[in-house]
Amino acid sequence: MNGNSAVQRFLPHLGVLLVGVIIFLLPNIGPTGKVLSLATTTVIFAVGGAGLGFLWGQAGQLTLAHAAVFGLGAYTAAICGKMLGTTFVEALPLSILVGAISGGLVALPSLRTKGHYFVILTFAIGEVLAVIEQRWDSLTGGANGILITAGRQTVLGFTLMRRAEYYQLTVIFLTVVSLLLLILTRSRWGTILRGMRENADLAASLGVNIAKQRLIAFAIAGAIAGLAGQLYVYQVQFIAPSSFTTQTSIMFLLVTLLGGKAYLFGPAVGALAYFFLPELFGLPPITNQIAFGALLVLMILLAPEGLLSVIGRTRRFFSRMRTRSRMTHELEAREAAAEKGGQS
Amino acid sequence: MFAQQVYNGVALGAVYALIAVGITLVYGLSRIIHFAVGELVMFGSFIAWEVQNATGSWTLGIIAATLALAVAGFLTERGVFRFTLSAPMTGFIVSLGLILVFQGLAIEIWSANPHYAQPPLRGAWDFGSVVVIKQTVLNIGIVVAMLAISYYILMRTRFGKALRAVSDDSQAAALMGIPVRLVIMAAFIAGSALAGVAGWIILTNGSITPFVGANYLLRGFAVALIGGLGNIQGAALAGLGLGVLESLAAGYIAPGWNDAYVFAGMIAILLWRPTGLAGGGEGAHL
Repeated sequence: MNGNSAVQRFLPHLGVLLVGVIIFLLPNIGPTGKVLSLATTTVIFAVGGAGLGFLWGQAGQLTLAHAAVFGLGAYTAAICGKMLGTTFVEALPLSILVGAISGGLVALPSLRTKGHYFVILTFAIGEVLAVIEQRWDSLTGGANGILITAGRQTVLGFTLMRRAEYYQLTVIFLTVVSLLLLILTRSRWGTILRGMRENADLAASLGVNIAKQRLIAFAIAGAIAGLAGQLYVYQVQFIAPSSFTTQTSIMFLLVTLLGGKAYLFGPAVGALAYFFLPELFGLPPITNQIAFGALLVLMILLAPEGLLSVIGRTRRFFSRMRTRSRMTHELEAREAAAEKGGQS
Repeated sequence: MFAQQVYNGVALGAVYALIAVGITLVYGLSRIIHFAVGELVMFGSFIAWEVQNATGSWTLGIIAATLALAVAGFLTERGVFRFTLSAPMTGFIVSLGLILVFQGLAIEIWSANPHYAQPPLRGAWDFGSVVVIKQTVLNIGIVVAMLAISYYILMRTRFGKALRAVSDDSQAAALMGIPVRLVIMAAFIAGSALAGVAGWIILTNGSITPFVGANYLLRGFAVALIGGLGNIQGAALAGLGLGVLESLAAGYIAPGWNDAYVFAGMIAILLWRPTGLAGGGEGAHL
């Protein structure tokens, strides 16, 4: 009895681990190099998107500076690697810290502004950061960007320069981040966040320090974005300001929305669709951009809770249909019986 | 030098004010932040370019851009934004999707290369300390005329009264028999048409690409927010202010950092006065 409830309690955690193990094994089925690098990109943006999904889905806060924070994490890793010669592991805490701090900074205007004003402010903050990246040549390499190489580094026994091994490393990070977010979401603090999302005034009246909790939520999302940024740099081994524009922020939004912001693996599903659908259909990049723009519009109008909600909804629909048909059968049988009874 | 920069700033700010008034109009009635407005401006530029190349007439160019954008405003309202009126944040996200669609379409149709055009008025008047390019005078005149017409319609006509009523309280307005949906549609059409005029003015600066939208979107919003969302006079004043500041900063400090000044200034002003300098709507909640 006790053991059973413990299993039930940790079933979601086991589920996350299981999903992690399954995608971890992808290199074993012998994918092509292209599929593998697309899969790595997918996993990296799933990590970054998970941060936004947490912030948006749980705390109900939308930010358009997510790509900029992601970019800061990437620049931190690249600049440290280039100028100080840090390794992946040494740069990691720094990228996460820079992400957390800048994520928290983005949240500061929310103390004074609300709704649309705040969202546009986050957008402006992202733009200022982009200008700094572009103009502070001595530090960021300006528009030319920075080239870095991982050399012969290994992390946890995975060689960074080997495509399959780097993919598996990113999957480990995705699994860890997902587990952490799952724990946070199911914690008391997660309930507080959702309470703030539904009714901030009510939550405040119950003694919740809205500003502080919101700041922490933004910092967590920022830390995850910073981590994803570093993963991104070590994958493409090059960064330039053009990788972290408004388009990237909209892309994070699309990825999160596509899968479903309320689901732990929503952004991962969204990223999967975002990176593999174009490959599947073989569309040229511009047609792709148009298609994704249209998709974003359609998704928010028709299925604002994302692709994963569609699965739930169809299942509910079918179970309702089944109940209905069972009920009609029973009714018909009963009527038939009644008729027979009447005749005899 | 100073007077010259101030004049350049006024010429620059006039376009910002025009775009901001469109943004403010749409926001005031629908509470939707229409982020695709920069792409609408860009479309206006390209349509004007096409028509001018085909007919050789600037007048036809500006008329075509305005009319085409009015139609675009009608179609976007009828096609998408109408379904998001109950949740303005949804409308905002929809407009982000439209940015991708519009920009992609423009690249498909006109390629990513810059397109060039000669302004209809050439030459300049030299007043000693200030050199006034003739075309900028025409542009400022057009902006002033558009703003005056907007102001007149809004404040002096029956239709303007209906617009203001819907902006104040759409439910009460509906109860008084004002066709709210029609009025909101009119705001979208008018806002987009203003973007078309702005597009033509940008074309007279010399060259356009499918990527000019973002620049004007950001400045248009900076102006609309600083002026206070839903506030036309605020938008006009803030537009001029931003243009002059930007021009002075470019002239006396480093021009490459212009975007940073503009947005840092906007962030500072909004933190100081969260609903803009002149006061405006509070913004929809998430």
